[in-house]
Amino acid sequence: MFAAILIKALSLFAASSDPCPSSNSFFGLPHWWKYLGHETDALGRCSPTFKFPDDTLAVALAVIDILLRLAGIAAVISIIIAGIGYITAAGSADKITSSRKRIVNSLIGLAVVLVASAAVSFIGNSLG
Amino acid sequence: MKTLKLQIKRAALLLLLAGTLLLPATAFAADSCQTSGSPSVKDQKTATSAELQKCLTDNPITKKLNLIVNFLSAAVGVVVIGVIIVGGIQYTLAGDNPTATGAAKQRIVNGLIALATFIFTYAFLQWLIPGGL
Repeated sequence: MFAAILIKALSLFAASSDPCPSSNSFFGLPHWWKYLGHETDALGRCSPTFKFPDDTLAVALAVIDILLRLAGIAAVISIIIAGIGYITAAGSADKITSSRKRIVNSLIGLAVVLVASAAVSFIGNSLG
Repeated sequence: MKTLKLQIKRAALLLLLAGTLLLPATAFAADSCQTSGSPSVKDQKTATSAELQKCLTDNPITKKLNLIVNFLSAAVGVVVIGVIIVGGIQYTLAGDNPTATGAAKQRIVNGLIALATFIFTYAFLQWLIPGGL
């Protein structure tokens, strides 16, 4: 039973199509209603539908998508900061090691996030 | 005279015992799945396993429990992945600060511990509950 619900949730994860696409973008983050159904009213406006127990997981998966995107942005910004630190270190050994450590840490964090998301998609593919 | 009285008493007691044992079995024998009271011993013997399974799955308490367990089981995976991703972001933003990386590591490890605990609990419930979840 657990597997069945997980498969349902992960099949949502695989079929990624925004029900209400809009041109508004905030740092390229996906919308929280990404995996919900939608309905169109008389004026042609699209609104996502939410039913309490079933759609909670869909929203949670969308939030995970947003977190993945945020992790990528954070890693890029952190590496840029470390690179600037490296450039402006000007031979100071302390600053060089600090910058190098920052780069290594951001790469480790990115690897953790990638492994977590890869585990999700791998389990989803192998189950269904 | 005394022995006769004792014999009557004993016979009455026996009759009463037999009556209490037989009555529920004969009264509810037609319905293997009662809505009130527990099924008698005879019912459980005569009813097929499929009927008993249907009794169990049609029970409103069982239905609600299954709904809750399924929902929480699915939520556990999502929450654990979320915690690990947040830990990864924390690690990324830690810079060269060892205490910050320690906090991120602790968060990731806690997420993994939660996952392991859930898996053990689920296996334990599968073992404990007759028929499984």
